[in-house]
Amino acid sequence: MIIFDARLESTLDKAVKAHCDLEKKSGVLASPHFLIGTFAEGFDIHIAHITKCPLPATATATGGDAASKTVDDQWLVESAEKVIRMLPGGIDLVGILWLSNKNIFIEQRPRLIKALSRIAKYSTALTTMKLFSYIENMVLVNVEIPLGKPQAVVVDVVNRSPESPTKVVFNKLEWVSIVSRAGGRISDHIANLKTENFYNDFVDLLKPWAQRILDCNLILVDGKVRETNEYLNKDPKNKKSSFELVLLTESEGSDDSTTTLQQESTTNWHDFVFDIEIRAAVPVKSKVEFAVLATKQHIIRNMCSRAVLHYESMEVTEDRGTGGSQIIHQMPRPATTTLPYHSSILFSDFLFEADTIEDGQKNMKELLEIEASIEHVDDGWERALEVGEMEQVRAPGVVPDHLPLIISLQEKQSRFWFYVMIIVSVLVLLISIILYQVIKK
Amino acid sequence: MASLKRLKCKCKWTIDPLVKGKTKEDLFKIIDAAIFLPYQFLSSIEFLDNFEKIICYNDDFQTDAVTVLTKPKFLDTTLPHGKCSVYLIGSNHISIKSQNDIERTIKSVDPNVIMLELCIKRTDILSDYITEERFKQPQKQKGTFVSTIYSAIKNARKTDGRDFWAAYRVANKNCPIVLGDRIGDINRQRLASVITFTEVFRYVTLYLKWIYNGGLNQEKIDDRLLEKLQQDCPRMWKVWVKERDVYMTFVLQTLVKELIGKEKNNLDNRSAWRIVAVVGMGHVKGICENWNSTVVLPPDLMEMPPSSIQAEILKVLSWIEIQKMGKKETWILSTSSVFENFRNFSSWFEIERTRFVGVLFGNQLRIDVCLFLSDNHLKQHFFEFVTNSLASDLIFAGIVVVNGHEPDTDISYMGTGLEIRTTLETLQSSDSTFFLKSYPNIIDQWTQPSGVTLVSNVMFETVLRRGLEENDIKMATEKFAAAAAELIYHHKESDIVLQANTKHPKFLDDILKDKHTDQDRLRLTSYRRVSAQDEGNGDDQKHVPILKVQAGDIAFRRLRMPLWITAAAYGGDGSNEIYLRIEEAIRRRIYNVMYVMMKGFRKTYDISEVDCRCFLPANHSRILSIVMPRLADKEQQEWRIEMHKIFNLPSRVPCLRSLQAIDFSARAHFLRTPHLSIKNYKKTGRITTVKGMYDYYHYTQQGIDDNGWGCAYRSLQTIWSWYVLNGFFDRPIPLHREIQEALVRIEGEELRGKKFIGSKQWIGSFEIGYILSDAISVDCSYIAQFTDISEKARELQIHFESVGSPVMIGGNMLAHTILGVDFDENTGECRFLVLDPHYTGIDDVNTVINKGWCAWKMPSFWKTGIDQGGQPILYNIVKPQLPTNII
Repeated sequence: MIIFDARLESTLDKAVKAHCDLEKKSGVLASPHFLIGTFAEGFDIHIAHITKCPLPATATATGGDAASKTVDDQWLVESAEKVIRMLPGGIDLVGILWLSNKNIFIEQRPRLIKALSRIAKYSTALTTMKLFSYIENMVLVNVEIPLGKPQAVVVDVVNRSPESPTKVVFNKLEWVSIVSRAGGRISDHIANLKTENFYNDFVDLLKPWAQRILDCNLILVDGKVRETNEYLNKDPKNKKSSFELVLLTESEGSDDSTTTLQQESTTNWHDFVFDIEIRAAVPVKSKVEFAVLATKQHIIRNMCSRAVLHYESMEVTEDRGTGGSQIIHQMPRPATTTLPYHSSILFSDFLFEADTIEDGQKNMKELLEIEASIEHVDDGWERALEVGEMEQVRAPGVVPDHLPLIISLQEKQSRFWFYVMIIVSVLVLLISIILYQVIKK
Repeated sequence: MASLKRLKCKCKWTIDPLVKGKTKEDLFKIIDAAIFLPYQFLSSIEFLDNFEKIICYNDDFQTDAVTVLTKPKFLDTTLPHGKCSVYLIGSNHISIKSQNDIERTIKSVDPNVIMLELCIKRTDILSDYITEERFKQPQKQKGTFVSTIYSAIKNARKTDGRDFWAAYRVANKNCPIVLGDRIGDINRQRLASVITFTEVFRYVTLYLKWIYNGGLNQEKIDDRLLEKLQQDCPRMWKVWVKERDVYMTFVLQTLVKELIGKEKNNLDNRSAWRIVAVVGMGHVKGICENWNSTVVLPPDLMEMPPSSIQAEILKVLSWIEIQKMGKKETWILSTSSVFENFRNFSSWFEIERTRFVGVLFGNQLRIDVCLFLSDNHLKQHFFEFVTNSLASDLIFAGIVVVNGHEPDTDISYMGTGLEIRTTLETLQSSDSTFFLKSYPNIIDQWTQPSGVTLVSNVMFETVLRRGLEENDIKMATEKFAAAAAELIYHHKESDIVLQANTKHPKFLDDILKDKHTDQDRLRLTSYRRVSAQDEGNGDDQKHVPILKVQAGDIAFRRLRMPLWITAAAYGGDGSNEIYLRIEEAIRRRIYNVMYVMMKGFRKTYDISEVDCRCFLPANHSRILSIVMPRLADKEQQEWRIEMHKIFNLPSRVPCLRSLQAIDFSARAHFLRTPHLSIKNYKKTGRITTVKGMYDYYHYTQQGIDDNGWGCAYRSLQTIWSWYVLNGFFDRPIPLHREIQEALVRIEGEELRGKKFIGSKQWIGSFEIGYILSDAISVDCSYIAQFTDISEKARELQIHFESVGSPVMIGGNMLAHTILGVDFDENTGECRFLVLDPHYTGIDDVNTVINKGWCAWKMPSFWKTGIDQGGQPILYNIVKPQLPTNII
């Protein structure tokens, strides 16, 4: 069953009206929209938000043939990729809403199904590094223009079996926020370095670490161990809107393992340091298991989205670090805003050093149709390295290891001196007062 | 049946038997049933109205301080038949009157259990070394307000706890003493979290007024005072009195249930179970009120609230109080362990020419390890290595100065540490009385508190770049040690999680009950947080993820080292306390890894592997975690010898061979050293047992059906396992066929016959000796052709003392393994610890112990007299000896 949030009923009406206007004005034959929501436990799909897929310039231009007045699957997939990167864990691009007349829909349907499969594939790669598959079905909703009701089919994107019609309902939906953090330092070499593809190398570097996170079944929810099959909100009367989750990895070797000291050599060494905030979102009636998965997916998607954007922004000719050289890659920083009426769902755009908060605001509007005021876009989560810090990072001698970066010694030291200076200042002040009193007498 | 008509006062019972015409004996039974006190304990009984009414008196209870509680009513349905009386004594903790009440009650009642209003952290009063002198009755002073109060408090402090001490002193030595109060730390912290300054002010006013009016000298607390306290300080009353009333009622009800629930034949010839409970006067009323309802402990009752300013102030105040009172600490130390370590130490060194000192390591006021170290081993870095090899709760607690030789070292120890001065002669003579003559504050005993050893495996992983190994290993270990605080431990079975700075620490007493740190282990799985805990600088802006890519030829070595971490958890420990101990264990382990690696590096300029293994040598009660470099055999032996010297291990018995390391893995193995699980054995004389571990081999194991003929083969396998597990050699345990082949090889085919191999023929003591000598070069001595084993008890005692290997006894068509002797030299009485190879069941330690397959046996276990052939039954014993060059 497809459950649209009740507030989307009016959004849908507006979208239909907007399409009719556009059809009249520019002759656009179809308006594709992306459905954003959750593959909820069971077979339900919850829709929290609808955002319009941007149309190519040819669609709104005067003249042109029928093909130029609609969108092809390639365009759809590329637009969807941009949207997926902005979604928090637990929230996915779950399907396409297609507004057109019946004939156009029938004609485009195979393309749309193909696009959905490709979107699912991309989403899986970005969200799980292909370590496991989590999207089996997506939804294709068609609203026949001008007065049709939403008709939905579930598309099996894995086995490609025939689509099955499903019921569409509008209900009040709620999501809760899952708050967590992920930090650490991953230092290792990449055995099969593909210098021409930064993103693939990055995924290769992170994969073992991601696998360890995915493998670990123990988590702490609000500081306590919870059974994975329990409901997050145990007490239905006293619903919480936010949960703090601590992710863990097993720190043990097997019982039989013994000390090994293995000789290795490489031509590359990667040292990745990160500390990111996580705000995943899951339906209010989710089980712990679902929240955990959403959090894990958030981490991977967040990292991969930044890496893919960084890769796309790189110059083709850029030196990728050969012949004893050293390259520092600074990932883009997040700029976030919440979905109106669902404050638990926090979307992230990623900004480069030179980008401003206004760029984030613009992207939110273009890709997600969220008209957030500048005060509601937050780009203060992270910052780029300052010059001095960059020099520190460049300095050789950083110990490569697999341990999380707890707190830099530098930081501790500076704080120590800070306190010493306060104490010294107080002492100087006291001595001065005493001396003053003595001299006065 | 009789009914208890009226409880006139605590010492007088009036009973209406309801049935006329009973004999006196019947009436006595009625009295027993009615008042739950054996009639023999009554000082007088009056029969009135032609036996229709009985009045019983007991002069020992002529006090209002004792309240007799009978079995709670709610137990009538579940445990209808059992009887139990609880003699609840309300004490003011300081008066002679209370002391007398307690002594008379305990002597009169002869309880099965005594419960005291104490917790595990307040047991220092229960000492055999505290005398009446300590509680000398204070002189009453009346002066100014301040001086009166000051002297009253001072005197009260001095005599505080005399009631508990009295109960401990007069109790029958076999009578268990239950510590029935909630942990003091919880009481204090809970109080601190709720109390307000207004309540503190009211309480102090009330308390001072009460003291000034001589309240401390009164035998009974005025009910009005308690009411006033309840009204004025309701929060304090709730935590300090009401919650503890509930807790103590719960403990008492549990005791009643457990006692009544026991089998009837466990009950002695008295008619009812008897519990004496010593509690503060203020608790009597609450306990009585709660008594007849089922008390369930609310989950938060044992929770420690987060620390608050009030709690910190309270802590500081109690510290100041302790300092002012100059509290005399009582230490516990096992002199036999000290002397054994000294004997081992002196077997390595020329003791007259060596300057040495005994170093004491302990936990709070208990000394667990005394190591004699020569001056060479007292250098700071080496001393750290020694400390880091010990259990994480053991810290440097003091020294034993021998012949006035002060340690020549830069190691400092805390001023409050223990310092024992003794002579070489005292140590050599193992004279414990002389050793402790000047130290009345040291108790010579080994009482290990209940608890378990927590075991976890933490992987240490790093890479060492070529040419930078020294630097890399140092930094990696530092980081690993720092990251120890980020680990989380999970016990799957009980779903308990241990993590740093838990806001509501839990007490794990339920899972630690009746467990011992040297035997019982709890496996924890270690986890690492994916993110570091917030250090309180959450407002600081983080920097974006950074990836640094270094290109060029890089050579490195990847080090992966699984570290087995062990830490003790005792009853009464909170989860935070336990966590810190595990954290400390990790630090100790990793620093020793670095120490040994660097030591090797400085010699060879190369990093080599090290192994971290845990051992429990016979003369150590706590686990030793030794980091060993992987070296060639000869160098490895030199390292082991060095470790033997440092940890005072014997010079003739291997203790640190890799096969002797404790196997923490979940691998299934044979039942190991099952005799350690024998509890409640009452010794008759001096016990000597097998030294170290062995595996229990018995019938039908390894897929061989040897029922009826394989007992001697199994006994040989057990003895062989002892040599393997104690590090003498590592040859696999032979199966029956291999044993037979070896015998044919040794004795020749003519003697054994061609069909011996693969047959079901028995073998005896001498065959076992031949095989041990031939296969693993172990010499054996024999006690041959005797009829009465009790005559050989002394000889076996010497064997277990000097060699410690299991011995095999064969005769009367049976073979058994003997693991120990309990021998009274004065009376000649003896018992033998027997491991029976005829067992055919599953390897379950409880079955083996409870059914007597591993148990202490009387000499009559071995039949004497004439066998079926008319010959006297003769027995032979083979005593395997120690091989040479064994460390």
